[in-house]
Amino acid sequence: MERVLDLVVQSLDVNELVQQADVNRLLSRVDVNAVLEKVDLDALLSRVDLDALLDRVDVNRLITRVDIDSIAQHTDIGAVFVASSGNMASGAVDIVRGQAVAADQRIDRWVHRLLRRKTGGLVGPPTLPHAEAET
Amino acid sequence: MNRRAGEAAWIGALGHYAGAASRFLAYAVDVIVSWSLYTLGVAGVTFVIKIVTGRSVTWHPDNSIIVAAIFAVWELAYFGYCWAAGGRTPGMALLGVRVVRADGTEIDPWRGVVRALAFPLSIILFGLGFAGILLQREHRALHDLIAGTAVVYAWDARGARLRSLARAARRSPSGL
Repeated sequence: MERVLDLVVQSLDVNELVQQADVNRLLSRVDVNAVLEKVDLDALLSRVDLDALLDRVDVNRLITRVDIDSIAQHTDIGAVFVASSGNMASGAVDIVRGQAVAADQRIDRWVHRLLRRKTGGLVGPPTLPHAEAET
Repeated sequence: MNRRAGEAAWIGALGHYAGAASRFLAYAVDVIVSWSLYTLGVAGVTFVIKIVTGRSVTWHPDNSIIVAAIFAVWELAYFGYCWAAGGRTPGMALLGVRVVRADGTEIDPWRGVVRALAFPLSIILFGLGFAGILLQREHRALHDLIAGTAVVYAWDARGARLRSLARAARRSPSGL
């Protein structure tokens, strides 16, 4: 019997058969969701060689397709570039303010220690004007 | 505390009551600015009088009370106008602090004027009026208590954060 089956299979032209099959109709009968539920994506991804995948990516071509203007408009990146090339005065003001706040906090700690008061607690008024503009 | 943590600490202080060092530095800057403006003003008035009348004006020590009174009025106008108009003087703007009402809402112009009028009291009482800045949790001086105001850190936090990120990127060996 097996011998007969082998002969039948050998005589079949699989490519011809596939060409005659209505693949779309076949796929429409497949429950994709059920198939996906059975797939273990974590296991699948763990088998993916990302280095090999990345080696095949043409990064230069990818970068040419990136819309830098759009990214700059929708994120803080543009502002960071502006800030990084900003004037020295802003940096100096930040340093002065930073030093002053550090001194304030140091003085506060001394006073709290002197008065044997617990640190923390009230640090600012309940509301602040121009909160949206300044935060 | 490392440099980045230090930057985060001061940027995160926005809206907190401003401490003694920030307020003293802001006041020192204001003294320099107001004194410079006053000196320029006096020089300007002297020059105009000389041009108009042809006489040179000298400020005699005999007139020191008048000069001191004019200076006091000028200082009152300088601080009063700045606090009433925007809640901050040039020195306060530099140090990133602002006068607000005790509950944190925006200051009314009349409170700014009252604060300026009450400010000399803090000095006259042997400086004891300023003790509250050091000792009180809310860092409120006598003139703050009279005018119902407080001083808070209020700077452009977004700009400061971005500049901080930019500085961090510059320090990082891989850049951005």
